[in-house]
Amino acid sequence: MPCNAYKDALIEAAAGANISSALRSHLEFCADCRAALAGEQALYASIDAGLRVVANAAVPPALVSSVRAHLDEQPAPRPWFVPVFVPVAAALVLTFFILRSLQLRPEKSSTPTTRASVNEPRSPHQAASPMESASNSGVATASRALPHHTPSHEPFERNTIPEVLVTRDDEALLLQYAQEWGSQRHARLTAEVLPSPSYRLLEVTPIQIAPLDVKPLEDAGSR
Amino acid sequence: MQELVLPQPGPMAQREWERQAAGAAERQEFEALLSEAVPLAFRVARGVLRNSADAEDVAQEALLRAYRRFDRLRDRQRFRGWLVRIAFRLAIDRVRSAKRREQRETLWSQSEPRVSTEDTAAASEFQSHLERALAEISDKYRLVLLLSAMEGHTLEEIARLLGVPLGTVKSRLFFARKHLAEKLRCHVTLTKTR
Repeated sequence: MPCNAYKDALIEAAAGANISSALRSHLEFCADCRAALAGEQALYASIDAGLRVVANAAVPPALVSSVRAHLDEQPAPRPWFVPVFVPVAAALVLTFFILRSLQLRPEKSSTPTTRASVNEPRSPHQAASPMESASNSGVATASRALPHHTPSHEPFERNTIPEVLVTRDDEALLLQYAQEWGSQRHARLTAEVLPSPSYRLLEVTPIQIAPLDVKPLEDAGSR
Repeated sequence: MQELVLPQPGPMAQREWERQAAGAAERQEFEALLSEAVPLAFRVARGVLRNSADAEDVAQEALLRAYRRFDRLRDRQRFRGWLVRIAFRLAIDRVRSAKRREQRETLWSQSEPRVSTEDTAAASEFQSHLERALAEISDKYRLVLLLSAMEGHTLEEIARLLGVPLGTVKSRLFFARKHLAEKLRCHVTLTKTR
């Protein structure tokens, strides 16, 4: 049996730690401790041998060829940033187009259809308005030219959106424009510069003012 | 005389061609490493799993995973350490999932890893005790023990493989062997003190 005082030192020495001078001198005259150290060293040698068996197991010869065969089935490694970049770029492009389409989409209130809706006669009183009379005399409102209009009853729209007046000859053109607007987002708009109308000066009779007759107050001195 | 004009490849085709060329070059480079990478991955997995068939599966999976991510490894000198970590982690995961599966299947069954007939025949009694004790110590100690026991691995190389200082490797190895010895001492001889 080894000495109790040197038990831990013997184990550590067998594990590979440095042997202290005290232990070395003790081992010279203690046969039991020498035997214990030899036993511990044999244990560690067995452990190392067993570990070598575990760690150096024979590799199956077919493993390399099997791995090569599986490599053939794998796609070639792509640069690491490709799988990251592609979805990010796609998301950015998609977001851009969505935002752009939202920006370009004409609002309901600004479409010719809606504009035209305000030109609908709203009351018998308004039916006799100059606009209606103009329509009767050869000028049609856009409401007649545009199909599927939805009457709007918003007072704000009634007051702010200008009326679109076209002549009867232009009704067909306006109808075509409305159809194009409905079918595609950016309809072509053709404008024609009309000659400016000649205005006649308004003649007004000059105002005549009779001369003032100023009279002094008679009773100013009496007050 | 008719003039023939060869169509020039577009930028997309050019990029695709360059990508394929880069992929082929990486494939060649990886295959050159296979001869030493396969035994390394297999032995690390075998040391953890104690079973050749499972170790083969894990080694294969580790190598394929390494191949798929090979372009991310900028410093190719660190390939072996990288592969060791992949194989070790996969093997540990497999052990844990096997333990969970066993616990699910039979609550009272003995939770020992599956050992094939050839392994049983080859292993001595001490060896089986050793492998069991090895499975019980913590991962960081076990990996150092396995790598140090593999042929041709110096302590400096293990430190490089694991990315830890040399002193850390030495201390882990010392405590791991001591831990194993404590577990196996009763199977060899009882040390009595006076």
